[in-house]
Amino acid sequence: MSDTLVTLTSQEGKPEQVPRRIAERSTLLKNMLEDVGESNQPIPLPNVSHKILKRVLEYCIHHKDDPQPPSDDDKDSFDSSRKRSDDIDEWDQKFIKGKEEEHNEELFQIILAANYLDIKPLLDLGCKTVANMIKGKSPEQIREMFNIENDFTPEEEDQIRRENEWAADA
Amino acid sequence: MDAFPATPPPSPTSCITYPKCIYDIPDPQYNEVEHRLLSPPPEPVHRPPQRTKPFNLPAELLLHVLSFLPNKTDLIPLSQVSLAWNSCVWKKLFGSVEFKSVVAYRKFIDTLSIEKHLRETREKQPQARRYFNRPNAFFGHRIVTDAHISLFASSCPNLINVDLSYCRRVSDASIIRLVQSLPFLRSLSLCGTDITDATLNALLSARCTPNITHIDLSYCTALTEIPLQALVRALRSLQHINLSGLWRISEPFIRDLSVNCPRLKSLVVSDCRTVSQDLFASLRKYAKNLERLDISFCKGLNVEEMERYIKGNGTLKSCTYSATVGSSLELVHRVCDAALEDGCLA
Repeated sequence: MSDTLVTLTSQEGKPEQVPRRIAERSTLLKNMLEDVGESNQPIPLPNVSHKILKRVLEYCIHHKDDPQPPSDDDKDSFDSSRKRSDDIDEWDQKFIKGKEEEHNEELFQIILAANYLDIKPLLDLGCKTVANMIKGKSPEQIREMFNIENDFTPEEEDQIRRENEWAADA
Repeated sequence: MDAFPATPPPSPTSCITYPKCIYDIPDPQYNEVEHRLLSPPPEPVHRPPQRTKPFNLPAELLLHVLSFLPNKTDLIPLSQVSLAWNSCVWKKLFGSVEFKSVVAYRKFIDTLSIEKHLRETREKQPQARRYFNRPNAFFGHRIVTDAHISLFASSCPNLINVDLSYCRRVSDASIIRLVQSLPFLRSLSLCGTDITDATLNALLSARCTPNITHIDLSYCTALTEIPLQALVRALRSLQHINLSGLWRISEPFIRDLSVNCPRLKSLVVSDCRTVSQDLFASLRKYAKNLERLDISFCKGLNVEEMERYIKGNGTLKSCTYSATVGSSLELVHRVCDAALEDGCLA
Protein backbone atom coordinates (compact mmCIF):
# COMPACT_ATOMS: atom_id res chain seq x y z
CA MET A 1 0.00 0.00 0.00
CA SER A 2 2.70 2.43 0.97
CA ASP A 3 4.74 1.30 -2.04
CA THR A 4 2.16 2.43 -4.56
CA LEU A 5 3.24 5.19 -6.85
CA VAL A 6 1.71 8.63 -6.70
CA THR A 7 1.74 11.00 -9.65
CA LEU A 8 2.37 14.66 -8.93
CA THR A 9 1.86 17.20 -11.67
CA SER A 10 3.99 20.32 -11.44
CA GLN A 11 3.01 23.79 -12.50
CA GLU A 12 4.16 23.15 -16.05
CA GLY A 13 1.90 20.10 -16.22
CA LYS A 14 4.84 17.69 -16.18
CA PRO A 15 4.06 14.50 -14.22
CA GLU A 16 6.47 13.13 -11.64
CA GLN A 17 6.01 9.67 -10.13
CA VAL A 18 7.08 8.98 -6.57
CA PRO A 19 6.42 6.23 -4.04
CA ARG A 20 3.58 7.18 -1.75
CA ARG A 21 5.91 6.92 1.24
CA ILE A 22 8.06 9.73 -0.18
CA ALA A 23 5.09 11.92 -1.06
CA GLU A 24 3.82 11.54 2.47
CA ARG A 25 6.75 13.52 3.85
CA SER A 26 4.55 16.41 2.83
CA THR A 27 1.73 16.84 5.30
CA LEU A 28 -0.39 18.43 2.61
CA LEU A 29 -0.04 15.42 0.31
CA LYS A 30 -0.40 12.99 3.20
CA ASN A 31 -3.73 14.48 4.17
CA MET A 32 -4.83 14.62 0.55
CA LEU A 33 -3.94 10.99 -0.05
CA GLU A 34 -5.74 9.94 3.10
CA ASP A 35 -8.83 11.83 2.04
CA VAL A 36 -8.83 10.48 -1.50
CA GLY A 37 -7.95 6.90 -0.63
CA GLU A 38 -6.81 4.51 -3.36
CA SER A 39 -6.69 6.45 -6.58
CA ASN A 40 -4.52 6.76 -9.65
CA GLN A 41 -5.47 10.35 -10.30
CA PRO A 42 -2.46 12.62 -10.60
CA ILE A 43 -2.27 15.35 -7.97
CA PRO A 44 -1.83 18.81 -9.47
CA LEU A 45 0.61 21.14 -7.71
CA PRO A 46 0.03 24.39 -9.57
CA ASN A 47 2.19 26.37 -7.19
CA VAL A 48 5.38 24.38 -7.60
CA SER A 49 7.58 24.46 -10.68
CA HIS A 50 9.01 21.22 -11.98
CA LYS A 51 12.55 22.18 -11.11
CA ILE A 52 11.63 22.98 -7.52
CA LEU A 53 9.47 19.88 -7.22
CA LYS A 54 12.47 17.75 -8.21
CA ARG A 55 14.59 19.46 -5.59
CA VAL A 56 11.94 19.01 -2.91
CA LEU A 57 11.58 15.32 -3.79
CA GLU A 58 15.35 14.92 -3.63
CA TYR A 59 15.13 16.16 -0.05
CA CYS A 60 12.21 13.87 0.76
CA ILE A 61 14.00 10.85 -0.64
CA HIS A 62 17.11 11.52 1.43
CA HIS A 63 15.01 11.99 4.55
CA LYS A 64 12.52 9.22 3.90
CA ASP A 65 13.40 7.32 7.07
CA ASP A 66 13.42 10.27 9.46
CA PRO A 67 10.84 10.17 12.21
CA GLN A 68 7.92 12.51 11.60
CA PRO A 69 8.65 15.82 13.32
CA PRO A 70 6.59 16.57 16.41
CA SER A 71 3.67 18.84 15.65
CA ASP A 72 4.45 22.31 16.87
CA ASP A 73 1.11 23.19 18.34
CA ASP A 74 2.39 23.31 21.85
CA LYS A 75 -0.16 25.78 22.96
CA ASP A 76 1.47 26.44 26.24
CA SER A 77 4.89 27.60 25.18
CA PHE A 78 4.94 31.31 24.70
CA ASP A 79 8.49 31.66 23.59
CA SER A 80 10.29 30.25 20.63
CA SER A 81 13.58 31.85 21.43
CA ARG A 82 15.41 28.62 22.07
CA LYS A 83 15.70 27.81 18.39
CA ARG A 84 19.11 27.84 16.81
CA SER A 85 20.37 28.05 13.30
CA ASP A 86 23.74 26.31 13.51
CA ASP A 87 22.56 22.71 13.72
CA ILE A 88 22.26 21.93 10.02
CA ASP A 89 23.76 18.58 9.03
CA GLU A 90 26.23 18.20 6.20
CA TRP A 91 23.96 16.71 3.55
CA ASP A 92 21.31 19.35 4.20
CA GLN A 93 23.88 22.10 3.92
CA LYS A 94 25.08 20.82 0.59
CA PHE A 95 21.52 20.29 -0.60
CA ILE A 96 20.28 23.75 0.25
CA LYS A 97 23.34 25.37 -1.24
CA GLY A 98 22.40 24.10 -4.68
CA LYS A 99 23.93 25.83 -7.68
CA GLU A 100 25.79 28.92 -6.66
CA GLU A 101 24.56 31.34 -9.30
CA GLU A 102 20.86 30.91 -8.64
CA HIS A 103 21.10 30.15 -4.99
CA ASN A 104 18.87 32.91 -3.61
CA GLU A 105 16.09 32.50 -6.10
CA GLU A 106 16.04 28.74 -5.65
CA LEU A 107 16.21 28.97 -1.87
CA PHE A 108 13.27 31.34 -1.94
CA GLN A 109 11.24 28.97 -4.10
CA ILE A 110 12.15 25.98 -1.93
CA ILE A 111 10.98 27.80 1.20
CA LEU A 112 7.68 28.70 -0.44
CA ALA A 113 7.20 25.16 -1.74
CA ALA A 114 8.04 23.63 1.65
CA ASN A 115 5.53 25.94 3.25
CA TYR A 116 2.88 25.13 0.67
CA LEU A 117 3.48 21.39 0.82
CA ASP A 118 3.84 21.57 4.58
CA ILE A 119 7.21 19.87 4.98
CA LYS A 120 8.31 21.31 8.27
CA PRO A 121 11.95 20.13 8.41
CA LEU A 122 12.59 21.48 4.91
CA LEU A 123 10.92 24.77 5.79
CA ASP A 124 13.10 24.99 8.89
CA LEU A 125 16.19 24.17 6.86
CA GLY A 126 15.42 26.94 4.38
CA CYS A 127 14.64 29.48 7.05
CA LYS A 128 17.72 28.58 9.08
CA THR A 129 19.83 29.05 5.97
CA VAL A 130 18.35 32.51 5.44
CA ALA A 131 18.89 33.30 9.11
CA ASN A 132 22.55 32.37 8.77
CA MET A 133 22.85 34.52 5.66
CA ILE A 134 21.53 37.64 7.36
CA LYS A 135 23.24 37.23 10.68
CA GLY A 136 25.72 40.02 11.30
CA LYS A 137 25.01 41.81 8.03
CA SER A 138 24.23 45.50 7.76
CA PRO A 139 20.80 46.59 6.53
CA GLU A 140 22.42 47.80 3.32
CA GLN A 141 24.10 44.44 2.68
CA ILE A 142 20.84 42.62 3.26
CA ARG A 143 18.95 44.84 0.85
CA GLU A 144 21.57 44.20 -1.77
CA MET A 145 21.71 40.47 -1.14
CA PHE A 146 17.97 40.00 -1.48
CA ASN A 147 17.24 42.89 -3.81
CA ILE A 148 14.93 44.58 -1.33
CA GLU A 149 13.87 48.15 -1.86
CA ASN A 150 14.44 50.64 0.92
CA ASP A 151 10.93 52.00 1.31
CA PHE A 152 11.43 54.20 4.36
CA THR A 153 10.95 57.94 4.31
CA PRO A 154 13.92 59.86 5.78
CA GLU A 155 11.63 60.74 8.67
CA GLU A 156 10.99 57.08 9.36
CA GLU A 157 14.64 56.14 9.09
CA ASP A 158 15.36 58.69 11.74
CA GLN A 159 12.58 57.33 13.91
CA ILE A 160 13.85 53.78 13.60
CA ARG A 161 17.34 54.77 14.58
CA ARG A 162 15.90 56.31 17.70
CA GLU A 163 13.83 53.25 18.49
CA ASN A 164 16.78 50.96 18.01
CA GLU A 165 18.76 52.95 20.49
CA TRP A 166 16.35 52.34 23.27
CA ALA A 167 15.51 48.83 22.15
CA ALA A 168 19.16 47.97 22.63
CA ASP A 169 19.01 48.83 26.30
CA ALA A 170 15.38 48.01 27.11
CA MET B 1 6.21 46.48 -3.53
CA ASP B 2 3.10 45.29 -1.89
CA ALA B 3 2.15 46.75 1.43
CA PHE B 4 2.84 44.52 4.34
CA PRO B 5 -0.04 42.06 4.61
CA ALA B 6 -2.69 42.80 7.16
CA THR B 7 -2.42 41.39 10.63
CA PRO B 8 -2.53 37.60 10.62
CA PRO B 9 -5.87 36.20 11.70
CA PRO B 10 -5.87 34.93 15.25
CA SER B 11 -5.92 31.20 15.36
CA PRO B 12 -8.30 30.13 18.07
CA THR B 13 -6.24 27.42 19.65
CA SER B 14 -2.58 28.28 19.56
CA CYS B 15 -0.59 31.03 21.12
CA ILE B 16 2.35 31.61 18.92
CA THR B 17 2.16 29.25 16.01
CA TYR B 18 1.98 31.54 13.08
CA PRO B 19 -0.99 31.08 10.85
CA LYS B 20 -0.20 28.92 7.91
CA CYS B 21 0.78 31.04 5.02
CA ILE B 22 -1.24 30.54 1.93
CA TYR B 23 0.86 30.51 -1.15
CA ASP B 24 -0.60 33.54 -2.70
CA ILE B 25 2.05 35.94 -3.79
CA PRO B 26 1.81 36.61 -7.46
CA ASP B 27 4.93 35.59 -9.25
CA PRO B 28 5.51 37.21 -12.60
CA GLN B 29 7.23 34.13 -13.95
CA TYR B 30 4.33 31.86 -13.08
CA ASN B 31 1.87 34.11 -14.83
CA GLU B 32 4.07 34.15 -17.82
CA VAL B 33 4.10 30.37 -17.99
CA GLU B 34 0.36 30.22 -17.74
CA HIS B 35 0.11 32.85 -20.37
CA ARG B 36 2.32 30.85 -22.67
CA LEU B 37 0.27 27.71 -22.15
CA LEU B 38 -2.99 29.46 -22.81
CA SER B 39 -2.16 31.59 -25.78
CA PRO B 40 0.00 30.22 -28.56
CA PRO B 41 1.94 31.30 -30.50
CA PRO B 42 4.48 32.62 -28.05
CA GLU B 43 6.22 35.74 -29.10
CA PRO B 44 9.89 36.05 -28.34
CA VAL B 45 10.06 38.23 -25.28
CA HIS B 46 13.06 40.29 -24.49
CA ARG B 47 13.50 40.54 -20.82
CA PRO B 48 16.28 42.48 -19.21
CA PRO B 49 18.64 40.08 -17.53
CA GLN B 50 17.59 39.96 -13.93
CA ARG B 51 20.21 38.77 -11.55
CA THR B 52 18.19 38.40 -8.42
CA LYS B 53 14.50 38.70 -7.92
CA PRO B 54 13.26 40.51 -4.84
CA PHE B 55 13.38 38.17 -1.92
CA ASN B 56 10.00 39.07 -0.55
CA LEU B 57 9.07 36.36 1.84
CA PRO B 58 5.55 36.65 3.23
CA ALA B 59 5.53 37.99 6.77
CA GLU B 60 4.79 34.63 8.37
CA LEU B 61 7.82 33.07 6.74
CA LEU B 62 10.06 36.01 7.53
CA LEU B 63 8.99 35.67 11.15
CA HIS B 64 9.92 32.02 10.95
CA VAL B 65 13.37 32.99 9.68
CA LEU B 66 13.75 35.50 12.50
CA SER B 67 12.79 32.88 15.05
CA PHE B 68 16.19 31.28 14.37
CA LEU B 69 17.95 34.45 15.48
CA PRO B 70 17.49 34.46 19.23
CA ASN B 71 19.84 37.37 19.94
CA LYS B 72 18.47 40.85 20.12
CA THR B 73 21.71 42.24 18.70
CA ASP B 74 21.18 40.21 15.53
CA LEU B 75 17.61 41.39 15.16
CA ILE B 76 17.86 45.12 15.73
CA PRO B 77 19.82 46.02 12.56
CA LEU B 78 17.32 44.03 10.49
CA SER B 79 14.60 46.49 11.40
CA GLN B 80 16.27 49.02 9.11
CA VAL B 81 16.02 46.91 5.96
CA SER B 82 12.48 47.78 4.86
CA LEU B 83 9.02 48.44 6.24
CA ALA B 84 7.99 44.81 6.01
CA TRP B 85 11.16 43.64 7.75
CA ASN B 86 10.77 46.34 10.33
CA SER B 87 7.31 45.15 11.27
CA CYS B 88 8.47 41.57 11.60
CA VAL B 89 11.51 42.43 13.67
CA TRP B 90 9.50 44.45 16.13
CA LYS B 91 6.93 41.75 16.34
CA LYS B 92 9.67 39.27 17.12
CA LEU B 93 11.60 41.55 19.42
CA PHE B 94 8.70 42.27 21.67
CA GLY B 95 8.12 38.62 22.20
CA SER B 96 10.61 38.83 25.03
CA VAL B 97 11.10 42.36 26.23
CA GLU B 98 10.22 43.41 29.70
CA PHE B 99 10.65 46.86 31.03
CA LYS B 100 13.50 46.58 33.45
CA SER B 101 13.34 50.12 34.70
CA VAL B 102 11.10 53.10 34.89
CA VAL B 103 13.44 54.84 32.47
CA ALA B 104 12.97 52.12 29.87
CA TYR B 105 9.23 52.36 30.28
CA ARG B 106 9.28 56.15 29.88
CA LYS B 107 11.39 55.84 26.74
CA PHE B 108 8.91 53.37 25.36
CA ILE B 109 6.01 55.69 26.05
CA ASP B 110 7.93 58.55 24.45
CA THR B 111 8.57 56.51 21.34
CA LEU B 112 4.92 55.60 21.12
CA SER B 113 3.91 59.21 21.45
CA ILE B 114 6.28 60.30 18.69
CA GLU B 115 5.08 57.42 16.61
CA LYS B 116 1.46 58.39 17.13
CA HIS B 117 2.22 61.97 16.28
CA LEU B 118 3.97 60.92 13.08
CA ARG B 119 1.11 58.73 12.12
CA GLU B 120 -1.40 61.48 12.59
CA THR B 121 0.61 64.06 10.70
CA ARG B 122 1.40 61.93 7.71
CA GLU B 123 -1.05 62.24 4.88
CA LYS B 124 -0.92 58.67 3.73
CA GLN B 125 -1.33 56.41 6.69
CA PRO B 126 1.04 53.53 6.35
CA GLN B 127 -0.74 50.25 6.82
CA ALA B 128 0.41 48.12 9.67
CA ARG B 129 3.29 50.39 10.38
CA ARG B 130 4.18 48.90 13.68
CA TYR B 131 3.24 46.02 15.87
CA PHE B 132 4.55 46.16 19.34
CA ASN B 133 4.08 42.68 20.44
CA ARG B 134 3.74 41.73 24.04
CA PRO B 135 5.59 44.11 26.27
CA ASN B 136 5.52 41.61 29.05
CA ALA B 137 4.99 43.94 31.92
CA PHE B 138 3.85 47.46 32.26
CA PHE B 139 6.56 48.26 34.68
CA GLY B 140 6.17 50.55 37.59
CA HIS B 141 2.58 50.22 38.74
CA ARG B 142 1.96 53.77 39.80
CA ILE B 143 3.48 55.43 36.78
CA VAL B 144 1.04 53.73 34.42
CA THR B 145 -1.81 56.11 33.67
CA ASP B 146 -4.95 56.10 31.55
CA ALA B 147 -3.15 58.13 28.91
CA HIS B 148 -0.51 55.41 28.53
CA ILE B 149 -3.13 52.73 28.29
CA SER B 150 -4.91 54.56 25.51
CA LEU B 151 -1.56 54.88 23.70
CA PHE B 152 -1.09 51.15 23.96
CA ALA B 153 -4.63 50.58 22.76
CA SER B 154 -4.09 52.65 19.63
CA SER B 155 -0.46 51.79 18.84
CA CYS B 156 -0.03 48.17 19.85
CA PRO B 157 -2.91 46.20 18.41
CA ASN B 158 -0.91 43.00 18.56
CA LEU B 159 -0.30 42.76 22.26
CA ILE B 160 -0.58 39.21 23.44
CA ASN B 161 0.32 39.52 27.06
CA VAL B 162 -0.84 42.41 29.20
CA ASP B 163 0.14 42.69 32.82
CA LEU B 164 -1.42 45.58 34.70
CA SER B 165 -0.93 44.18 38.17
CA TYR B 166 -1.38 46.80 40.86
CA CYS B 167 -1.78 49.60 38.34
CA ARG B 168 -4.24 51.41 40.52
CA ARG B 169 -4.23 54.65 38.62
CA VAL B 170 -5.78 52.98 35.62
CA SER B 171 -9.55 53.29 35.33
CA ASP B 172 -12.15 50.75 34.31
CA ALA B 173 -12.96 52.68 31.15
CA SER B 174 -9.43 52.59 29.77
CA ILE B 175 -8.97 48.90 30.56
CA ILE B 176 -12.22 48.22 28.72
CA ARG B 177 -10.96 50.15 25.73
CA LEU B 178 -7.66 48.30 25.84
CA VAL B 179 -9.14 44.80 25.89
CA GLN B 180 -11.54 45.69 23.12
CA SER B 181 -8.75 46.85 20.85
CA LEU B 182 -6.48 43.84 21.34
CA PRO B 183 -7.80 40.97 19.26
CA PHE B 184 -4.79 38.75 19.96
CA LEU B 185 -4.74 39.08 23.72
CA ARG B 186 -3.96 35.75 25.37
CA SER B 187 -2.89 36.63 28.83
CA LEU B 188 -4.33 39.33 31.05
CA SER B 189 -3.33 40.19 34.58
CA LEU B 190 -5.40 42.71 36.46
CA CYS B 191 -4.23 41.60 39.86
CA GLY B 192 -4.78 44.16 42.59
CA THR B 193 -6.54 46.72 40.40
CA ASP B 194 -9.80 48.38 41.27
CA ILE B 195 -11.68 47.08 38.23
CA THR B 196 -15.41 46.57 38.61
CA ASP B 197 -17.94 44.28 37.00
CA ALA B 198 -18.07 46.68 34.03
CA THR B 199 -14.69 45.34 32.86
CA LEU B 200 -15.91 41.76 33.13
CA ASN B 201 -19.00 42.63 31.11
CA ALA B 202 -16.86 44.28 28.44
CA LEU B 203 -14.60 41.23 28.29
CA LEU B 204 -17.66 39.09 27.62
CA SER B 205 -18.08 40.61 24.18
CA ALA B 206 -14.43 41.31 23.35
CA ARG B 207 -12.95 39.55 20.33
CA CYS B 208 -10.01 38.19 22.28
CA THR B 209 -12.01 36.49 25.02
CA PRO B 210 -12.43 33.01 23.50
CA ASN B 211 -8.64 32.87 23.00
CA ILE B 212 -7.51 34.01 26.41
CA THR B 213 -5.49 31.33 28.15
CA HIS B 214 -4.23 33.13 31.26
CA ILE B 215 -6.24 35.43 33.46
CA ASP B 216 -5.33 36.86 36.83
CA LEU B 217 -8.09 38.60 38.75
CA SER B 218 -6.63 38.12 42.17
CA TYR B 219 -7.42 40.73 44.78
CA CYS B 220 -9.79 42.60 42.47
CA THR B 221 -12.04 42.85 45.43
CA ALA B 222 -14.72 44.94 43.75
CA LEU B 223 -15.77 42.03 41.52
CA THR B 224 -18.97 40.10 42.17
CA GLU B 225 -19.77 36.53 41.34
CA ILE B 226 -22.50 36.70 38.72
CA PRO B 227 -20.60 38.62 36.00
CA LEU B 228 -17.56 36.51 36.80
CA GLN B 229 -19.62 33.40 36.22
CA ALA B 230 -20.82 34.74 32.86
CA LEU B 231 -17.25 35.59 31.86
CA VAL B 232 -15.97 32.14 32.72
CA ARG B 233 -18.49 30.64 30.30
CA ALA B 234 -16.98 32.74 27.51
CA LEU B 235 -13.35 31.92 28.34
CA ARG B 236 -13.27 28.73 26.33
CA SER B 237 -9.50 28.38 26.03
CA LEU B 238 -8.69 29.21 29.61
CA GLN B 239 -5.79 27.30 31.12
CA HIS B 240 -4.65 29.36 34.07
CA ILE B 241 -6.77 31.38 36.41
CA ASN B 242 -5.92 33.18 39.60
CA LEU B 243 -8.82 34.13 41.84
CA SER B 244 -6.93 34.67 45.06
CA GLY B 245 -8.55 36.89 47.58
CA LEU B 246 -11.96 36.98 45.91
CA TRP B 247 -13.91 36.29 49.03
CA ARG B 248 -17.22 36.14 47.30
CA ILE B 249 -16.69 33.12 45.08
CA SER B 250 -18.41 29.90 46.08
CA GLU B 251 -18.70 26.24 45.12
CA PRO B 252 -21.17 26.52 42.23
CA PHE B 253 -18.77 28.98 40.65
CA ILE B 254 -15.84 26.58 40.86
CA ARG B 255 -18.02 23.86 39.37
CA ASP B 256 -19.03 26.15 36.54
CA LEU B 257 -15.42 27.02 35.95
CA SER B 258 -14.34 23.38 35.82
CA VAL B 259 -17.20 22.45 33.49
CA ASN B 260 -16.72 25.35 31.08
CA CYS B 261 -12.95 25.38 30.93
CA PRO B 262 -11.95 21.78 30.25
CA ARG B 263 -8.35 22.78 29.53
CA LEU B 264 -7.82 24.34 32.92
CA LYS B 265 -4.34 23.51 34.14
CA SER B 266 -3.83 25.86 36.99
CA LEU B 267 -6.27 27.12 39.57
CA VAL B 268 -5.26 29.52 42.31
CA VAL B 269 -7.94 30.16 44.89
CA SER B 270 -5.69 31.07 47.75
CA ASP B 271 -7.36 33.12 50.44
CA CYS B 272 -10.86 32.48 49.09
CA ARG B 273 -12.47 32.02 52.45
CA THR B 274 -15.87 30.89 51.27
CA VAL B 275 -14.55 27.86 49.42
CA SER B 276 -15.44 24.61 51.18
CA GLN B 277 -14.51 20.99 50.58
CA ASP B 278 -17.08 20.48 47.84
CA LEU B 279 -14.36 22.10 45.78
CA PHE B 280 -12.60 18.75 45.57
CA ALA B 281 -15.69 16.93 44.34
CA SER B 282 -16.15 19.46 41.49
CA LEU B 283 -12.49 19.37 40.57
CA ARG B 284 -12.37 15.57 40.62
CA LYS B 285 -15.39 15.34 38.40
CA TYR B 286 -14.72 18.07 35.85
CA ALA B 287 -11.20 19.50 35.98
CA LYS B 288 -9.48 16.49 34.49
CA ASN B 289 -6.39 18.36 33.32
CA LEU B 290 -5.58 20.28 36.45
CA GLU B 291 -1.86 20.36 37.15
CA ARG B 292 -1.52 23.06 39.73
CA LEU B 293 -3.78 23.93 42.61
CA ASP B 294 -3.26 26.57 45.24
CA ILE B 295 -5.68 26.44 48.16
CA SER B 296 -3.59 28.08 50.82
CA PHE B 297 -5.48 30.08 53.43
CA CYS B 298 -8.77 28.44 52.50
CA LYS B 299 -10.09 27.82 55.95
CA GLY B 300 -13.16 25.78 55.14
CA LEU B 301 -11.44 22.71 53.77
CA ASN B 302 -11.50 19.21 55.13
CA VAL B 303 -8.04 17.76 55.18
CA GLU B 304 -9.11 14.15 54.64
CA GLU B 305 -10.96 15.24 51.49
CA MET B 306 -7.90 17.09 50.37
CA GLU B 307 -5.69 14.11 50.94
CA ARG B 308 -8.05 11.85 49.05
CA TYR B 309 -8.20 14.29 46.15
CA ILE B 310 -4.46 14.74 45.89
CA LYS B 311 -3.70 11.05 46.14
CA GLY B 312 -6.33 10.07 43.64
CA ASN B 313 -5.31 12.59 41.02
CA GLY B 314 -3.03 11.53 38.20
CA THR B 315 -2.46 14.88 36.56
CA LEU B 316 -1.82 17.11 39.56
CA LYS B 317 1.81 18.14 39.79
CA SER B 318 1.78 20.86 42.36
CA CYS B 319 -0.46 21.71 45.23
CA THR B 320 0.02 24.55 47.69
CA TYR B 321 -1.95 24.08 50.88
CA SER B 322 -0.30 26.15 53.53
CA ALA B 323 -2.46 27.42 56.38
CA THR B 324 -5.46 25.30 55.54
CA VAL B 325 -7.45 24.47 58.61
CA GLY B 326 -6.49 21.40 60.56
CA SER B 327 -3.29 20.82 58.68
CA SER B 328 -1.59 18.97 61.41
CA LEU B 329 1.95 18.02 60.67
CA GLU B 330 1.11 14.34 60.48
CA LEU B 331 -1.50 14.86 57.79
CA VAL B 332 0.76 17.08 55.84
CA HIS B 333 3.36 14.34 55.85
CA ARG B 334 0.84 11.88 54.56
CA VAL B 335 -0.17 14.22 51.75
CA CYS B 336 3.43 14.89 50.89
CA ASP B 337 3.96 11.19 50.41
CA ALA B 338 1.45 11.25 47.60
CA ALA B 339 2.73 11.28 44.09
CA LEU B 340 3.16 15.02 43.85
CA GLU B 341 6.22 16.47 42.24
CA ASP B 342 5.91 19.54 44.30
CA GLY B 343 3.87 19.82 47.43
CA CYS B 344 4.38 23.11 49.12
CA LEU B 345 3.68 23.96 52.69
CA ALA B 346 5.43 27.30 52.96
